[in-house]
Amino acid sequence: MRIALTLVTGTAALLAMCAPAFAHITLQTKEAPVGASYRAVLVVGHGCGNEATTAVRVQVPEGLYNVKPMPKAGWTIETQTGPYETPFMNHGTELTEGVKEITWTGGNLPNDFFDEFTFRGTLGGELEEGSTLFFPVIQTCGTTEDAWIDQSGDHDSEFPAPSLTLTPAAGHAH
Amino acid sequence: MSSSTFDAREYPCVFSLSRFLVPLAIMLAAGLLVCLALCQGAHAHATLTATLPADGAVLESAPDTVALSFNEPVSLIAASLVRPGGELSDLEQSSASGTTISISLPPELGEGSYALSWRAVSEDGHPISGTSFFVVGTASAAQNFVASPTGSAVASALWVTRLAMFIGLFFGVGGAVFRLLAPELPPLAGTSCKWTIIAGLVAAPLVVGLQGLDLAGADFFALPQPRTWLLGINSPYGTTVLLAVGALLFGFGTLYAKSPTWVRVSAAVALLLTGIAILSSGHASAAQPQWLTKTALFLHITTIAWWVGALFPLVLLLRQDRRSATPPLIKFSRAIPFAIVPLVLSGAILAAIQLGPPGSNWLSPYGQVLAAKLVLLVVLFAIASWNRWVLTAPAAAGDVRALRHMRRGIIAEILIILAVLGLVSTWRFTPPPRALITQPATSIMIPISQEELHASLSFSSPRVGSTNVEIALGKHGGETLTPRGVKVSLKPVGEQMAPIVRTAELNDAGVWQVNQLTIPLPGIWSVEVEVRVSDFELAKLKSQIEITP
Repeated sequence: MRIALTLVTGTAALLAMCAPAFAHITLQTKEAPVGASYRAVLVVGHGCGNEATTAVRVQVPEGLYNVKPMPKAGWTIETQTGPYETPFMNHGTELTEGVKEITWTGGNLPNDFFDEFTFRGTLGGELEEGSTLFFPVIQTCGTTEDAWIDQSGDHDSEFPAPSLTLTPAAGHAH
Repeated sequence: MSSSTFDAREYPCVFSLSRFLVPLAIMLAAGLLVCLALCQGAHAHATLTATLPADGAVLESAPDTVALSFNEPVSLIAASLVRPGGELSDLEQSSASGTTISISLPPELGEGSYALSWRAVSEDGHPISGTSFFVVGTASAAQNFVASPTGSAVASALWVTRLAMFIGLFFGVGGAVFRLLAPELPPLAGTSCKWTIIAGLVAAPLVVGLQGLDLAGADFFALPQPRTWLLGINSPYGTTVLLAVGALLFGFGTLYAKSPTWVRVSAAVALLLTGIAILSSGHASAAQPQWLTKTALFLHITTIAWWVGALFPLVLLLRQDRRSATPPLIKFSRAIPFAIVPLVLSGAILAAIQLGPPGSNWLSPYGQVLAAKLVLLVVLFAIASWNRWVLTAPAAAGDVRALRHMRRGIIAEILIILAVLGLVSTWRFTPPPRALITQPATSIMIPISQEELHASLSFSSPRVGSTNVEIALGKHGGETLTPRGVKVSLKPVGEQMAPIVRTAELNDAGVWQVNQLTIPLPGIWSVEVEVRVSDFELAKLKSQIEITP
């Protein structure tokens, strides 16, 4: 029992210490339970090199349904919808398509500042706990861009895609 | 009285708390170290904005310094210069002002191409690295960039020491493992195991040093330099040698263990370490798919060690009286098919992966060595089968002629196996066709798991110096692929050099190409092609290439 407790506490502390730093574009909340609603906050901590960020485009992963972006002063939001691979039951109504891509444009975020880009959705109940959802992001800075789309998980990748790890559904006893 | 009761209750609680806290503290400390090691690379965010002289610049005379500018303040960890001869030297930072670092170059640099490899850390503790090139003299001088090849004396010494290490592992450790079947080894077998293990232990550190010399392309005079040993120990062979030393020490343990349990445990660990040691380096273990090649290689090595090691003690047992020889002989002949089947099967899998489909590949030096090995193996298996199915029964029954034939047969087997080991040791110098691109337009196909993508890379010259790389991309289904961008990065395996990253351009013929890519060092390089398949999709294809001097 004591050993188990030590291991659990130790592992939790380890994970907490390993939480990715601010230097990349990341999700503020990196873990969420399967089947729950999820508020995705993309943290953009810097520009492309020294250039100011002028647009942010994110691809919504399959499994996050009924996505709605939060309005953002100074930025124009556009969404692109598409069909879901697995339809989603939203309180008895079947949803077969929804937002698959969100673009924020028209703003100007200098390299010396950071900002957050928020949207919300529901994680499908069929998703596998422990798996990872990737939210690939394209950061545009005037004429240049950085594509945060590397889903390889290599710890030395230069532009990793922001990711979310799925935890067991709430009330799901283990 | 009440206070003593209070103490008695309180102490166990304090003790158990400390028992809980101490391991926790140790775990946290260890975890922090792991995080520092693992998490560091992930968050690089300072970027190089300019280099002076510019990357790829052709200069009339050698510059005194190279200046690197970043988008935020950084400090230099290490820098080294690769000279036209392929020789590496460490460089010092001469000054740093905010976001610019100056690195002083050694005086009187001759004509030729130079590569400057650097590694720095930004203020938030994230390391970044890169390599930039400049040419002194005329641009054409860069084309005739000659690296000094490793002296053949170093190569021979490396071959001999590797062979000694293999003999220690297969005959020494394998012989000790034979104690599982014959708890009392014949005295001469015990002595020979002891000395082959000792020879292996002596050879092992030499392999590290010579490997370092070979990687640096240096000659014996560089052997005392710490840099040589660092290169050797940091190369994949460093791990192999460390594990091999472990296997040899456990071999000793097996040889001298008193109780049968310890013989078993020690023999298992020694065999396991032998397998992992050879697994952790070499051409085979770098081939795809990794799980298959690694499993096959592990089976191959451990069964060889088990079989080969048994031979010498068997010969000696057969010379002794029949009563002591019979039980181990019968056990051995019962067990041998279980070793040979995985041995042959894993060998066939490895050969198929390394050679690829039939074609000119099979005539490469690697293919020739493999063919020679196969011829020897056919003879070896013929003798072994003769021993197993014709001679074992009469020999066990005490037939003197059968015993004599069997002894001679096993001695012939030992000689053939030594020849095979000698051949296999040359594979260090003849990489498989899979890893080798010798001709222009010879392509390698890299299968990728997550996407049905394939790439074939052709290097105009797989040699040290300037080369053009063409990358043809396609989907296995035959669908057309229109990537948004392609990046190529090259890094020498086992070297401390930062990767060389270049963005490919699409030419009129629809082929992605990188022109005038300068490769500063010979050896095995890992190649990674990053294909931006669509806006949000990135595929990575990885392989290796042998760069010749």
